[in-house]
Amino acid sequence: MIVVQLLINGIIAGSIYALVAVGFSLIYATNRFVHFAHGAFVTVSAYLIYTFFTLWGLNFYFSALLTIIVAGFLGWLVYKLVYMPLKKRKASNAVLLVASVGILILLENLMLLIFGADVKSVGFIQIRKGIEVLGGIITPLQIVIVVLVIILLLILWFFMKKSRLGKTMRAVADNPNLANIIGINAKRVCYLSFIIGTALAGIAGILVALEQNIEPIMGTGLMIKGFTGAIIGGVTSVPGSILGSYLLGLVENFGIWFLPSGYKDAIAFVLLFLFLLFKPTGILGLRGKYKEQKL
Amino acid sequence: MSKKSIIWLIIIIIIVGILIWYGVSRKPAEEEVIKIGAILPLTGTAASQGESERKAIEMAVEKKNAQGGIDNRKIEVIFEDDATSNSPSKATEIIKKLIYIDKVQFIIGPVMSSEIEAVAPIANQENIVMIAFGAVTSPFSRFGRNVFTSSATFASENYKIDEFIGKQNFGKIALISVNTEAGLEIKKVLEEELPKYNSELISTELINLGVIDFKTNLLKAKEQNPDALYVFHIPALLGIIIKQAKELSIEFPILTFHNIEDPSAKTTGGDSLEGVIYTSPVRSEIGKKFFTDFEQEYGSEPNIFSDAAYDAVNLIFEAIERNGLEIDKIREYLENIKNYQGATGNISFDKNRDIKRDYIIKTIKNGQFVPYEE
Repeated sequence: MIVVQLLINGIIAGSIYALVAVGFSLIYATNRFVHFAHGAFVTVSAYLIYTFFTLWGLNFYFSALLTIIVAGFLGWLVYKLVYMPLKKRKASNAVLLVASVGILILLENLMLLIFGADVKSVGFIQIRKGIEVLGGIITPLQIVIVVLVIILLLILWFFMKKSRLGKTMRAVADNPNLANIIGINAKRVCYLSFIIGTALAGIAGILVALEQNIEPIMGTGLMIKGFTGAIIGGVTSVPGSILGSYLLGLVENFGIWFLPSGYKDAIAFVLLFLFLLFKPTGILGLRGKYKEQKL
Repeated sequence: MSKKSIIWLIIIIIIVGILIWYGVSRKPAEEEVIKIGAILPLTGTAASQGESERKAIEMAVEKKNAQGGIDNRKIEVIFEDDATSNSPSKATEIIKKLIYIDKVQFIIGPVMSSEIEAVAPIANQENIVMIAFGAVTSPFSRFGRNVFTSSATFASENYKIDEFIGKQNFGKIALISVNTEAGLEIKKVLEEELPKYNSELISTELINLGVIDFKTNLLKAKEQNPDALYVFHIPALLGIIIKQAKELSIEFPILTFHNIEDPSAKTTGGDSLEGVIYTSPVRSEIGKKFFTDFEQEYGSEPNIFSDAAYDAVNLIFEAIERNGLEIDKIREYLENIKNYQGATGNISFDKNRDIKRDYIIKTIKNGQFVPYEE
């Protein structure tokens, strides 16, 4: 069954995009600037799991936990060392964007320096034939990735809608100034979103390392797709960014079934373009309640 | 300005002054050396390849310098990184730096075809000898009189697999290839050659560099029910394509070329490479020695094209030793070179300035590269 296999391929691709998009979107929603270095944190996390598990030989699940914790800490650190001082000097969002691109390049080159340029493989999972599901084929690892993303979607949706912290985050996302006036500590929320968002990059890094191997420059490519997915889904909405990523993965894979494969990126960006033209807020983005601050 | 910052300023000025003095004082010594520029992908997707090529070049240079250099002049190589960008503007910028600032007369690389296209006219105009060792698309003479290669054309390698396809009676072949000039050349060769062996190319998937998800491409190829799949990509991605093929339960034989022997294909492909059938150059004694020397020196296997880089620099040495530093004589010497014994094998240029080489069919058995047997 071709349709089923295309659907599966699209969902797997979409899940990987979503893993990147979700942390990015969480950070964007509360901070309102494009943290492009998010992709580099996925790369760093991939190298962390490689170091802990493959080089040091620690238990895999312990290594994974350690990676997520260190990633969260790095998120806090980058906000503390780079963005906070800039924000204090009233830097515009454009300045913050440039800073984030700087961090991206710095981290990628740091990984290149430490680990070298060649491809690394974590080697936790043996390559084997996929399992047949409804006429399509999927590997156990890909099932884990898809299921994990769906669980993340549910947890994040629940967290944002129901929990107190989620509510304050949404309040800051909705209108940072008003949130400040009514006594929400926006600074704390920003820190937290960086810690949680980058910890999510940690999860993404582990799964991407297992599924696609590790390279120093992989972050940029992942970031572009994750960013596109987030915009399509509505960048201020975390569940929206996941849905957008799935849509992107599906459209890409169905697209190259009919068109030559060279058009894959073109298909992605046409989709982005269409959304920007006709539904700039994305699938689940905020509707007109809050006007974008200058970007 | 506070007192403290004035002191700092003075310290910085002194340091900068010392550095400038050091740089200038080194100048006279530099005139004694023969400078060679090398444009390699030292970062980016092909970085592991570029890194290994750099080591191969350094190995050749160290060996020559240990022998006292050429005419008592030491050799110095200036490495420049094109970041695997395949960008003509970047390559042009680099070659201009090498020619006008470093004043090199010889250049090794670049490896990407669109970069060679961009810099070849400059090499011809400035009368610089350039050995773009990784260039494998025919005819090589299109790049002009000063530009040479030290690799055999992909076409000459592809003839061997076409012959094999004929012997095996594979009537229908699907191609998955990287969307570059080399990939397009492979497509052209397969389209032309396969009918001679009662076979045909039934589907082609050209995939851009940077894409790492091939599942839908493999599915498209599978739907055409080919007798075999030919894959053509850089080593790390060859491994990924074959791994994804195995995960998608693709049963028909997978054919490819010598990139599969590169260590990074093993890293990404792992056990899934088992049973892959490919073409591999026949190694000469010098080639085997290069491999063991490289492993001894650096503790790792050389990547593909490292032997070609090694040959490129040695060709330059030989040309200088016989002709001095007169570029016109060197060019003429290289043009007419016949049966030069290098690490890649026998180097002779045909009328198109292409190199042809002998290949054998090999396969991967228990992780080892072994000659293919029925």
